[in-house]
Amino acid sequence: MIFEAGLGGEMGEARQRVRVVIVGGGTAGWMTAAALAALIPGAAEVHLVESDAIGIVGVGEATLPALRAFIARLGIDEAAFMAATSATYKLGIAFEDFGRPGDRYLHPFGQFGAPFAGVAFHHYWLRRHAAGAALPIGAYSTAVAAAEADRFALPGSDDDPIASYGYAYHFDATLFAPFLRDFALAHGARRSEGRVVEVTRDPASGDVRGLVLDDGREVSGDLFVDCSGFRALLIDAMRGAAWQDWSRWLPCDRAVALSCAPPPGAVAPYTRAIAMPAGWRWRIPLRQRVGNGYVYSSTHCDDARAADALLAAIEGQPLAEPRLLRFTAGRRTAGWVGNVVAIGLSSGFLEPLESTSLYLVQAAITQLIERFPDSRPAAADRAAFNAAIDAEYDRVRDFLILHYHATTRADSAFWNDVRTMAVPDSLRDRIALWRRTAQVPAYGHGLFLEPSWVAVLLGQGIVPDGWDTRADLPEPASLDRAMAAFRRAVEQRVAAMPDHRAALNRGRAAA
Amino acid sequence: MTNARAPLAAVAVVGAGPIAYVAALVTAKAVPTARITIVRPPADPAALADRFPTTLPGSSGWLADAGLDEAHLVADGVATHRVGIRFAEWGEDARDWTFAHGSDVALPLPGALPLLWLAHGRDVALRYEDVRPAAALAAADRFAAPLADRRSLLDCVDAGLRLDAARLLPLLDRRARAAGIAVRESDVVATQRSGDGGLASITLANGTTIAADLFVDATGPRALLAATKGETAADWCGCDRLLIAERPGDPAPADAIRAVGIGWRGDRPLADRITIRLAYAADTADEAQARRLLDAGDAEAVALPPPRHRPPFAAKVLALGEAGTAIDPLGDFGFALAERQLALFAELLPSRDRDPLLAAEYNRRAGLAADRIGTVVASLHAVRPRRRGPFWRARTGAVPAALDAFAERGVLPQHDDQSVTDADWRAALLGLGIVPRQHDAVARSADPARVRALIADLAAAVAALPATLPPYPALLADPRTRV
Repeated sequence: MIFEAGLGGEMGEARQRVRVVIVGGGTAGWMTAAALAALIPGAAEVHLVESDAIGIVGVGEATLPALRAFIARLGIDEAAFMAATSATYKLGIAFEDFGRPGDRYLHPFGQFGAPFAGVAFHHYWLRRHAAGAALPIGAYSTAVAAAEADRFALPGSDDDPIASYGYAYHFDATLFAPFLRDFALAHGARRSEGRVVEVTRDPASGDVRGLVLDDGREVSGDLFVDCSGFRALLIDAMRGAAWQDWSRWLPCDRAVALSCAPPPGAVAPYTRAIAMPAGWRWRIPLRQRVGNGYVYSSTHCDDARAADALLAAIEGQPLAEPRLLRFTAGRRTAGWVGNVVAIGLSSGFLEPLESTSLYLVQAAITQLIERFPDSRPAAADRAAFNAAIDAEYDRVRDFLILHYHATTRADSAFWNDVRTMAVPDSLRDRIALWRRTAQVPAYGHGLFLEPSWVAVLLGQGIVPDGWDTRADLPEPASLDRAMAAFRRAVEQRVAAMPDHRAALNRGRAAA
Repeated sequence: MTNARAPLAAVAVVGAGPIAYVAALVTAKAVPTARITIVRPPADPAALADRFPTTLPGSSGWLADAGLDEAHLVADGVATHRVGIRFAEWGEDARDWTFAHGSDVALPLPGALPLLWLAHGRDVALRYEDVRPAAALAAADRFAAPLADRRSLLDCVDAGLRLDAARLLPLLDRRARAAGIAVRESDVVATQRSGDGGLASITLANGTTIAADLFVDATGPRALLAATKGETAADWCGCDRLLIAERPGDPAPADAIRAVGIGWRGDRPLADRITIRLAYAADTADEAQARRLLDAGDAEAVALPPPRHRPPFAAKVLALGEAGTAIDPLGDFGFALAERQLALFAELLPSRDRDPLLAAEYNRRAGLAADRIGTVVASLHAVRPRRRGPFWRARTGAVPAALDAFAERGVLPQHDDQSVTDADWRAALLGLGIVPRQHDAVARSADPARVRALIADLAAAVAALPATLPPYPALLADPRTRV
């Protein structure tokens, strides 16, 4: 094993770098290559193998605020990134018709109101809501108010609850991978064009030793990163990497995607997720086009009907033929086995309802860098990597299931099925705790924290009948004054923002 | 529509020490309408969390609930700062090292300082604590209030408070009475449970019965209200005897703990005296040996009962201190756990109604805090100076699994509870002499010459820091540090 060579030298001596071979040049592949090349050039030699003949899925057009940290850590200028990927700003996701037809709520990047006397705002809101004296909870969120007004400005200080919202991007995923490819190549990554026709493995350990490409070239390496998407060229054959199927909770297994010309008028600074008879559809506003897609369950809807439904729903001229994608919700029992690390769709799939796919790629890259082998991939490192990634997937899974399960919809077989299905115990208990006490279990790590759960639980109509008893202490009139003052401050902040298109043009001028 | 949950109407807190008072005051603040009674049985000498209360940085939200503030407590000699603990002859090679509270200095480079130091800096700064401002202060017995200024090394210094239980108790008693809390001096002679097993009422020595919606058991190892015996604590080093004495001495911002052949000896400096303790195990030493080593005349001898962990919240009883989770006495972390669990209690605030899922969530998080603090203390014991003597050879305390991960590459596993921060714990493990087998990839990718130059400069600045500060007694006497 190459890991054993060239090591054991004194501190600071030149060490042999680990030869990393990344299979697949989609978004996950080039994110991994860019991060390893830029952040650990002294530890990794990066070689990416991709084939132009294989298209990229490239529907990860909506992102989460965490992506900003990825861009910043790589030292990439935000304006340059946004210009290169035709990016727009995103303040959250609007969910329409989920809890019941006609309902609409925004899941913002940011909290509602401000805590008072150590108690989260939503407890006070619940009290006044029960008395019929509160506006919808989104009125107390700057991110929601700005999104509804199609305005955007960069957030301010974290200490100011009016100014401390988060933001992410919508971008053209087909432009992101090439942007990162240029970046990675400039930072010393190597690229080979070719299709993998054979994987050679160590017969004893099952570790991958090398790849054979379609033109006969051989590519050897020490550590292999499987970014080959659903094909899972390397990870699928590893022992202990079996697929855990979650489709009993997340039955959507197809998507039809289609871009259309942007309608005139404002560019919405948020993603729209609109419930459909057999799933939901996305609407992602980019600068020059709008991304659309219908995510559906093939047992409840056939492909032709799904494509027709999408075509009927979009607002602009279609820019291409609809594209069909197939998938299954779930994840690998282990994403890092032997010397193969699965990142991206090869490691698991959760539908894009909460724009989590690039986040999961990013989390795996962060963990890989933290556990990057020096002399050898250690069992403790693999275990820690797998535990961290499993926790990410499992917590996102429960959050996604909530969107389907917390509904009163009874207008189609699909919604009847998801409404009445048995959910994981972890989610069942969360919902029950919320109904009773308005509490959300807190975690130090993980993607969706209390404000997100509050947004979706309330947005989908699960209003607790009990809340923190301290919320009953203030006089109603003083509570109403404080809530009204908060609302005014939100309105003033939003009124001072430029509209989204103007904010984008400003960013472009800076680039 | 009104709240389906009714606030707690009656709460009974049983315990003689600060934990009981703090629990009562925190509850009074959260539920001003509740009738709260403190029942004070005779103090259990083995209730160490109550006897040696020490807070962790950022853990003392209860001070405000009790109408107290840090500056007043320090000015009145009730509290002194604890920036760290100097360990002597500790670790596999019986080394001297310093545990300290503070963040890592950030170099203008990618990568965390401990990992950069491990990869490139160990020949420039011999010990990680040489680049850790808090450790330098603890080693030199200096302290200054943390400065929120990124340019200052004092930005990376934090401290907990050592509380003098004898001075704190009368203060807490006054606050409790002022808050309308009834205080009864009595043992609990009987407990009554309802059909579902929940505690319904307690009977005092004079026959009075107190019913409540919620009980707090802060009675130390006796766990007067516990329904179950609990599980034996596995993360315990094995000391079952403690000698406790006091001697005159100046206040200091660091505790001092030294490994001795039969266990360890610790100095806990307060404002006007120093508590000294010797911990040992009855099966490897006798009391006479221990008394000779402590060399303090009339020391009090305390036998510690077998340590146990009980459910933090069950059967309407919130168990705090040793009544819930016994924490090994090394470093006095027991009170900090009680503090942390009380903060969780106040955050989740049970109601008068039965909320089993809320109790489960409290138990989950209270358990994480107990696991965190217990593991940190166990790891201080896991690297043991075997050559020092019989106590250390006899014990093979469980090595926490987290140490394996750390020994691989200096990275701690993610933990949802940060009662003891990763920075403090990682520095402690490096202080104990654990050298991870592999280096961090980001750190390895940094320019070694640049890292070495920055670390050399930092080590020089850290070494010079203590001399810029007054001796701790002078700092305490300075009227500018008073409010």
